[in-house]
Amino acid sequence: MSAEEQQVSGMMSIMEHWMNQTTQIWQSMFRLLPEDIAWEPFSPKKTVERAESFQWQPDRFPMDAAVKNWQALLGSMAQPETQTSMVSALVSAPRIVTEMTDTSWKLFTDMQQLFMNQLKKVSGYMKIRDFSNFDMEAMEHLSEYYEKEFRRFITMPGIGLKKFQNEKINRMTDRFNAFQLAISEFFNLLYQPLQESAKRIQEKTTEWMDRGKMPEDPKAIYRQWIRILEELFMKLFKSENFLRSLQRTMSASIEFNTARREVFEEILNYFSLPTGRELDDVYLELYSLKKEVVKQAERQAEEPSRAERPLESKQGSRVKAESGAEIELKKDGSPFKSIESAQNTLARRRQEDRYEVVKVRGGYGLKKKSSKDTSAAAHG
Amino acid sequence: MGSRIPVDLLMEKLAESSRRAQEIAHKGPMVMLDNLNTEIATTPYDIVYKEDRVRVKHYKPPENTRNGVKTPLLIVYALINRETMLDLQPNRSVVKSFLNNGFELYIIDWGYPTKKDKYLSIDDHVNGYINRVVDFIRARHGIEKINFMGLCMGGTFGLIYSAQHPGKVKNLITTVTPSSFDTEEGLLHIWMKRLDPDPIVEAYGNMPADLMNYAFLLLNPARLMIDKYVGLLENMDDKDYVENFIRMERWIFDSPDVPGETFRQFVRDCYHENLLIQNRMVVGGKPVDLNNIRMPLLNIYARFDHLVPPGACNRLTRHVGTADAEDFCLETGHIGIFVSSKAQKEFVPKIVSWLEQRE
Repeated sequence: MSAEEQQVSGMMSIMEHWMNQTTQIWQSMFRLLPEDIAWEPFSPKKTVERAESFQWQPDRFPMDAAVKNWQALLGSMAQPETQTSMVSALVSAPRIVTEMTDTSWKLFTDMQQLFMNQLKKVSGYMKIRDFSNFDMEAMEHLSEYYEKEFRRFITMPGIGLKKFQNEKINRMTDRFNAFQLAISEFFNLLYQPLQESAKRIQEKTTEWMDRGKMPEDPKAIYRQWIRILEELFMKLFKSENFLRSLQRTMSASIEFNTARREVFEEILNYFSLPTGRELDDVYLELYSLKKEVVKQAERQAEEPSRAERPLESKQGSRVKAESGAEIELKKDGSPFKSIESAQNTLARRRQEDRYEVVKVRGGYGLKKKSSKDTSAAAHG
Repeated sequence: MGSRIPVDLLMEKLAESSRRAQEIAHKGPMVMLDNLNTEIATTPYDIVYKEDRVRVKHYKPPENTRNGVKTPLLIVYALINRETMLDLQPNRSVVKSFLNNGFELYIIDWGYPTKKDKYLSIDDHVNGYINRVVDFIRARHGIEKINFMGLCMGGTFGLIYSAQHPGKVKNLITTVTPSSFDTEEGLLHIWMKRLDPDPIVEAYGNMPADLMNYAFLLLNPARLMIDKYVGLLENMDDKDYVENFIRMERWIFDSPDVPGETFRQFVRDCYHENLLIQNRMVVGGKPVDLNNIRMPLLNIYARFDHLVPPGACNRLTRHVGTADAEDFCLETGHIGIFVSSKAQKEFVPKIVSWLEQRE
């Protein structure tokens, strides 16, 4: 028997002994459990009596299954093969720990390396060495670096329950960065004419000095500078470079705005407040409803009132409105052309207090006032 | 040594400028801290019509004024900036000039569109609000037709309205009105052709006023962002100058948003497709045929307009259905036409005499 085998055999007997002891302790503990779970005041005498009269009855307690499992586990652990494997594990533990530490450390150094590589790439994209070279090209390189390298980390797909919320926050961060890059590039472009105009006015002043034709009024130099600046701006604003940058800045601003709104909508949802999108639906509905109401009102204004519109069936000079009221027209059955002619007829007949002028299709008619109206009129 | 003389003069001027700067530095803050009168739109008016955010201001002429034009004049301003520009300061007020000529004046105040107005289209403005306002004025005065004057985008609305409702307009006046959009004269036209309005409308709902103001400032940053404020610094001790300067600032930056759908359609149909001058524009499901404009037309524009350059205005009179169409070009800019003292002497008098001849 080798030294290692002897060591294993010795440890096995210790293990076996410990497990037997543990099983016995647990068995005696369970024998002390009360027969039912109803509560009763503690009595040492009763407990001793119960312990003495305890008969193991399988399936009697809910804990029985757990005890059985425990026994099975301990039994299995008592097997020589299991004990050999456990002891081997104990022996190889330091090696495993070393391997795990090694792996973690390697992961850390790899990450560091990756980060360093990313940083190196920045200088690869930015072909500038000092600030005098910090021009449009540098801005473009920075944008390119962000788009191709850095952005991937922010736009990594999210996982888990809060996947979508996290992705929205990441998207907002990403769009904010993109907007900052675009606007920096845009402002850098706007700065170019200022720089160039300062250079040109300096050259112009030197030229004036050399020729001895320096303007007498310093404001003339300022005016000249403004003219140069204006020209340079106009040239810039028509250039493809500027138009591209303007478009990019606009798009970046809009995309950031949209991403930010999505995050705010999450917050509003959390507080059960209506979001902009939900309000938009309401606005659209209001808009459509209002349009419909206006259309209906205009249609109604064009047509005579339904209540006063005469029916097709006409009896002589009288017609019946849909409301049931009888309306009198002219003797030839046609309506009065104007309110005045209808009123004049009533005045001639001295019936102003008994009739009123109403609108009918194609003109006006006379409707008998209800007795209530007449009496109200009589009482002034 | 002869070359030294100008340098000496320059130094002398610099010393003088320095003395002047010192004087301004003393007096300027006193003026700025004084009670400045910077109110705009001070001519009294009545609100005679209200619908949603839209109001109609009615200005009555003073009694006993010469009254050569009895037909009321409706002025429709653009949706960009506000109509207060027509009454910016007491001695340079287009409104006052019209009133002194006995005009019954109505001006549409478009108000401040909010998010709920984002769906309002050109049709809602032209065949909705404007048409109802015109009907209101016609009914109020018991007349069949009114005189219509449109400014800038309001003029474009006026063209659409007059083409679709020719029976309600007696005389049409378009002022710095873009009608032909395929010109490359102004930066605005170049930029707008490249602008995709859809993402803006999707993201913001309405076209934000701040965004438009940035764009307008960018059209000439040397003048609008540097020279203008240098001018203020140089004249800070002049109360009148400061008051007028602040009035103008108040007007420029008092900018409502533009309803999203209207902005989208205006950019697409006008700046991108140039449909209006080709009689291919459709508003409210009906074509806009400029040949229907058979009433007299006076088309006023400015030679140095950087927003609506002459090339965007001066084709109109050849495309309308009336022989009584006249172009009138003023030697000024887009805003100068209404506020410069020189233009004040020409602008309103021209309109008054033109309308009087057709009354």
